[in-house]
Amino acid sequence: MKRKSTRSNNSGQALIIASLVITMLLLSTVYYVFEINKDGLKDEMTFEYAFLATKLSATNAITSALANISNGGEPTVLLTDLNKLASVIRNHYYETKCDLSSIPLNVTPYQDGIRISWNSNGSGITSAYVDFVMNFSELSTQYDSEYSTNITTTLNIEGTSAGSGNVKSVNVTCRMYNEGEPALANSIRLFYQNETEGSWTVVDLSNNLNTIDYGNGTYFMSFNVYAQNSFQISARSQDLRDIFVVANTTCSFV
Amino acid sequence: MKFLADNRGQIRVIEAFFASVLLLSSLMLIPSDHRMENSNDETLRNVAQRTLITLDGDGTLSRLIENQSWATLRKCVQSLLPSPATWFNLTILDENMNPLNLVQICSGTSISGNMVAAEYVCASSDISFNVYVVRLQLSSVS
Repeated sequence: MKRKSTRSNNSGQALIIASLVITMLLLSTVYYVFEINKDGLKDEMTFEYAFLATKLSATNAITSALANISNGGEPTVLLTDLNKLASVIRNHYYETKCDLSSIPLNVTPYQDGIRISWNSNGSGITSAYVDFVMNFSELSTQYDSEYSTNITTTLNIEGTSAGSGNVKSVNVTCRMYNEGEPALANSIRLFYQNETEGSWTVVDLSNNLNTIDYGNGTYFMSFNVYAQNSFQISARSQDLRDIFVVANTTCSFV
Repeated sequence: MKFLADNRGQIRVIEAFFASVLLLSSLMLIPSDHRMENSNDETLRNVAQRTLITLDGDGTLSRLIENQSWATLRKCVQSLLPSPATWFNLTILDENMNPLNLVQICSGTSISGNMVAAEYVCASSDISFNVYVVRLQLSSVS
């Protein structure tokens, strides 16, 4: 009888111990998961920062190259600058290994990532388009990202002329866009061409040039010229990023 | 019978042992000073990274470096830090890691706590392309 009683007591103790062991297992599992999540979050934030920083620098590099090329620089500047940036980034990041590969778009109308369309249809476009592949890696984790960056400056021009005889009163409206959004211009210079293939004459104060800046990327200009009923006008402008663009159109007589 | 009685004693010992292990393991869940320090460092590092990204978001950082406007740069960093009780030191390096700012760009307050640093590769958007490495060191002033 006594033997039976001791066994039942022992059984209760074993249950308590078993529950303790299970509790410990559960607690250690929860703690492990918590630590793993914390490390993962830290890695994610490091990669997010590296991605944002690299993307921003690459966009600045494209803007710089486009400003250079549109002002007469060599088209190879784009890839040269991006390779220089990739080299500094590769040698710089201590916490992560970062590789940045740049692939300038080579699909018409882009050539080596550059598009310069300064036609006579009233719209001038200066643009760059580059695909990027970014690879960040640490000892245990790796993060890959592919994205494209497009920098485009567009200038639209419309013009009308009125008046009898050779003296024409001309009204011109120019609109500047950066990536499709209205943007301010650093400078706009107007030219007119009386004869096809003739020389371009700058419009200045001697033409009673009057400019109204609407502050939203729209510029209205009026001036007087000695010209035929139909003649070409040209706007040559730089946006605030120093990207140069030219837009030509035929001034219609009204 | 005697053996079973001894067993009871052993089980008590094992039970006490497990209980003490349980108590000790629960102590690990209490955040220690070391962990709090790590957490503060992480927060400061995030602040430093966010400050650098924000500064260069509109090209201000590269423009101020190109113009060597160190005083303006100091004010910009100061205004972006969430707390005035944060010490900072900004160092501008060229691509070969040579320092460019001969004047210190810092908040001037002495520090006593841990210091964290964030680095940023800054590319200029000017026609003349340059790459800089910007190092921002932060510390909480106690």
